[in-house]
Amino acid sequence: MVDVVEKSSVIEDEERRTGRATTGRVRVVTAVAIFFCILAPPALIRPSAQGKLSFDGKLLDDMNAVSPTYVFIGNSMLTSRIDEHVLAARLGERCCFLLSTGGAESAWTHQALKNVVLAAHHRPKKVFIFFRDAYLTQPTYRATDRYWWRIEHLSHEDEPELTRAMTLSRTWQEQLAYRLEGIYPVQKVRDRASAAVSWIAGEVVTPGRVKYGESAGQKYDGLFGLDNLRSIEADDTAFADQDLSEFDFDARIGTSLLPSMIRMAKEAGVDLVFVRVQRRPTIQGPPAQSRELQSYMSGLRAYFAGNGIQFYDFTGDPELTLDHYLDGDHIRPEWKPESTGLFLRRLQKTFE
Amino acid sequence: MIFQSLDFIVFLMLVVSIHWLLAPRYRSVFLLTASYVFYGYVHPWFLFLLWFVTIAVYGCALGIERLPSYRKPFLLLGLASCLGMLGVFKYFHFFVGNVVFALRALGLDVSGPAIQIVLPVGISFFAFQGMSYVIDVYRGQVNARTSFVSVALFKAFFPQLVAGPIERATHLLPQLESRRELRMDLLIEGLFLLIWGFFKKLVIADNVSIIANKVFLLEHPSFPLLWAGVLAFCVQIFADFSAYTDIARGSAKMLGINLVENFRHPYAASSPTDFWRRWHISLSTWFRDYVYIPLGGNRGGRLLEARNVMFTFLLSGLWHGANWNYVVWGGYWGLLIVGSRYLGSLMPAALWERRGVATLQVLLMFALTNVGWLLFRETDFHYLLRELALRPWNAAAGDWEAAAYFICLVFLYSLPLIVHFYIDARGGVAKVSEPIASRSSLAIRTATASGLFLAILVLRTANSGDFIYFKF
Repeated sequence: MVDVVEKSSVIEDEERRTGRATTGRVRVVTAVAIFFCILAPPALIRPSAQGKLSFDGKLLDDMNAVSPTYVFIGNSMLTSRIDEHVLAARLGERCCFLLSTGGAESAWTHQALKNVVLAAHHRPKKVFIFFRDAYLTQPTYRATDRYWWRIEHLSHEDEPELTRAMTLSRTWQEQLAYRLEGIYPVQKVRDRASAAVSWIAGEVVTPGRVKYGESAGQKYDGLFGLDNLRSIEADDTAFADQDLSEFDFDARIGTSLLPSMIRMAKEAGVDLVFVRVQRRPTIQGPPAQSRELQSYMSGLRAYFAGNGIQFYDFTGDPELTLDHYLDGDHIRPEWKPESTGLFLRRLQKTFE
Repeated sequence: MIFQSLDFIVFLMLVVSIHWLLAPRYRSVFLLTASYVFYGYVHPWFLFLLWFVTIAVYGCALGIERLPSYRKPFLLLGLASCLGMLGVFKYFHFFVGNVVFALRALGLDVSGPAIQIVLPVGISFFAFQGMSYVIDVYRGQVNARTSFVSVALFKAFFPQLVAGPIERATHLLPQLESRRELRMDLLIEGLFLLIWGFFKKLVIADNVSIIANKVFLLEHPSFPLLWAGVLAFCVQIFADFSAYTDIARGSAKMLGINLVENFRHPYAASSPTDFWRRWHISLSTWFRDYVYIPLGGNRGGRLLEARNVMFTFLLSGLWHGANWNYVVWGGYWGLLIVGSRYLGSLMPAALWERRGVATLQVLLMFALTNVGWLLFRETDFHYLLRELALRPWNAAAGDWEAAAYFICLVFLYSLPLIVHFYIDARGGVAKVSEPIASRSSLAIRTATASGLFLAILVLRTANSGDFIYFKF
């Protein structure tokens, strides 16, 4: 009797177990099917036939319209230091600034040089490239997400140098993220999605005053201008935590886009001038530079000299004291005309 | 390793797969190894601290049980190990800074030590979990484990190691020691929790944090902007912290382990006591069981109860961070609880049952919670006093409009939280955090999860900040 009861309970257990397993499997299949049904259609939304953002010819049009003698490429390090109008007036020449606010590191600079400056009808005499420390040999710095989309906007379908540098420099995580974005390019509508949320909020607060597609929050940016913020010691702490291998010049130059920039410019007969800006100094004097960074800079300097490239380093300039800095590495707006003058004085020979 | 990284996604997929492929007897050792990889991923030397606490609580718990005449010394040693580690790594600079400040106020020319101590992530969480184990063994609520792997895994189980929930030995240890079966329903449930957690962090918390961070960087925030920033932070901290808990619970579920719930719609609280029954439940119950009740709880009269509440909350504030603003924040909550209990005893009971009163209570509680978040968010206490005391109502032209815009934006990003609350309140089937009840609910929930996943892809911010509770 006991055996029979035990046996039947074992069978019931087994039935329950297998029944539950079958239901579990069905549930998983159902869940996966629904998941893919919902996620599949947006996968078809592709920013372009290739899944890459299309080339934005606006900067090229600007270049062609201005036909500048001098071109300046950079980001806020450039715009906070050099006043475009003061510069053009002092030089008596047409100048053109290619800017990527909050971005523009070496990959963007490379694409701007290749597909804007050197693709224009008129070749400029000189191209000035502003950079900080070791960023010139870090193709992956600010080259993900929205930064990458900016680079894609300056890229054509086939960009072998960029692809090579990125493949060699990306970490496995960056490589994976890049591949996933390629598989599911709908992610590139993120700017439009956040703009839509912002527009709805703007419509609620100020109906009819914000055009769809414009960021409603932009008009409030002035409230958070640098002058209204508490003092910040540094705006770019990422650099402080940087991996020391980034300062191994010999190891980095081969995987960077710098040789390609120099080669393209030489082939086009355009002079490149690299300008290293000074980071935020201390109250005692120029910013501290680690031994690794000093060694890196020696390598970079020798590399430029070996390739006949002009290079000017503002680090340690006695006129660039802490009181001229606003936040982080940015120069105070009121000192911008003097900063432009300083730039012209220091690089006087370059303009002769 | 941080949750919102590809590293973690790959790590979790590998750990879950290998865990279920392994023979049951190897699973605990494997999970322990994986937990150490998780914790030591960026700073391997942090592992030494974890090992130190693990060995200390393991040894002290065994000592309490096996050497009854030395129970108290072993208890004190176990507590001292955890508290000593917290004191050195979390409170050293705070303590020294205050001593130096006091001595300078007395006219002495002293300066603090030049050494810099790095705060290891999750130290407060695993120290408290360690203390609860030793105390529970001392109280006889749990048996001291002879298996070092069990105790080590209880201390280091990776989903909850860095920011909780703070598990009790009575709840987690038996689960870790039992033979776990792969259950598809738990796996799916875990996956849903993960997606919901990632959505809250990457879409809600990160987007509203942009507003809060901007406002709290202002030198002189106007009245409307300041409170818009506080509201943004209010949403941010809930979305951020509850996201961490959901990701932790989801990851654990995929490994067949149930972690305790940490949040129950805290902003629907109707009183300060109710708030702490809904917010960071594992911490508030920890303080209740190991501090408040041993102090006497609500026994011994109103005055003693008030003392116990204040002490518990001041300590809870200090647990959050080595800064005076957290102590003030704790004190603020202590006062609210003492005050509300006193007021509650004065009012007729029928008043609370009136229609509309409950809604008013929730609204008032939400406003008071926001005042608390202002104290919590602004770590520069002098700045806070100056701004609130000197210019409480200032507002330049356009500030009201900007504040309305930011509040609207915060509301839009909070809509999923509001919908979630509404569904839970109505007892609907589409609860993202509850077990699958039926086939139809599975369909609805899968559709919801897919929508959330899509929203993560298109609405997440460019950069995701660290979880707020990482620094505690």
